[in-house]
Amino acid sequence: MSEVRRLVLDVLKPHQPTMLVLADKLGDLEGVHGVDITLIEIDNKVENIKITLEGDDVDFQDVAEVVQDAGGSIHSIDKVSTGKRLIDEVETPQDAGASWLR
Amino acid sequence: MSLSGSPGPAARLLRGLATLRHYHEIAEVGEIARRYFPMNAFDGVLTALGIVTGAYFGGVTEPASLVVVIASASLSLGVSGFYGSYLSEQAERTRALRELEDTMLSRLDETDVGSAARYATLAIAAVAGFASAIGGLIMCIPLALQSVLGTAASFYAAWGVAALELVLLGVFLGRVSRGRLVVSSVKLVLAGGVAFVLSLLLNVAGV
Repeated sequence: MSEVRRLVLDVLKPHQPTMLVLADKLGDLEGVHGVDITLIEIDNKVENIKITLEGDDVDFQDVAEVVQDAGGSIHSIDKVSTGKRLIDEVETPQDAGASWLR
Repeated sequence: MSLSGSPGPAARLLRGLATLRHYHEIAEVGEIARRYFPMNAFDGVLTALGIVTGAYFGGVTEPASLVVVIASASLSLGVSGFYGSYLSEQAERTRALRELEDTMLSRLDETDVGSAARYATLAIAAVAGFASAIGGLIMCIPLALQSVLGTAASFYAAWGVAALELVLLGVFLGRVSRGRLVVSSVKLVLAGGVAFVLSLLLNVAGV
């Protein structure tokens, strides 16, 4: 089974614990080399964030546990990259042709 | 780490302390505890001051006998401070947690947010209870030393301790507000003076 090298999650969480604390805890997980958290939207009580994790073996269950302990809930898994090396999404002519829609 | 591979007592203690610090930050305990502490300590000091002043002007000649009175009153205030703030804090925290759950559409009791709310309730109640009791209990010390200090001097020393406690509370509040420490200390000592004068007037009025 190949290891997860990059994982992008859409998460809803309370304001506390802060993104700093959450990033710190995620960064401490085994197999995680880098964490990026971006604020997407902020509300009176909650905030919607995008979590990007990179490493040589990112364990989704461990990540989900940290997020849930922080009171957050994972809305969706937006991107997963696995394999021996990390590759990026390739843009196809269809994507380029439809870019005027975006 | 112990030989069995499980964390030793020191590591567990450190981890426990780190968890409490984490809850402390999440639940923002510091600011609320800072409000409860001077408020309840002030109550405790003024209550004990009233007992000492009333006893002095009422003709009590054995200040040592006041020790049990003040200690009992202080402990009752401590219990009252603990339970009062525990119940009100629990109600507020539970309400806030339920509102957050409604927004999140998920239960939060078993998360760090829920644990932090429970920790905050207990921590704040402990601070409030301790603050209520400690001021009066400290004032017992000079009264208990009546045999060493003498009757009048132990009363004066108890007033002195009360004034000192009020000054320290004023310094604490001054540091919190980043204002002038002398001004906030004088304000609290004046409040003590008002309580003192009211006790004196009660005696003059023959109550």
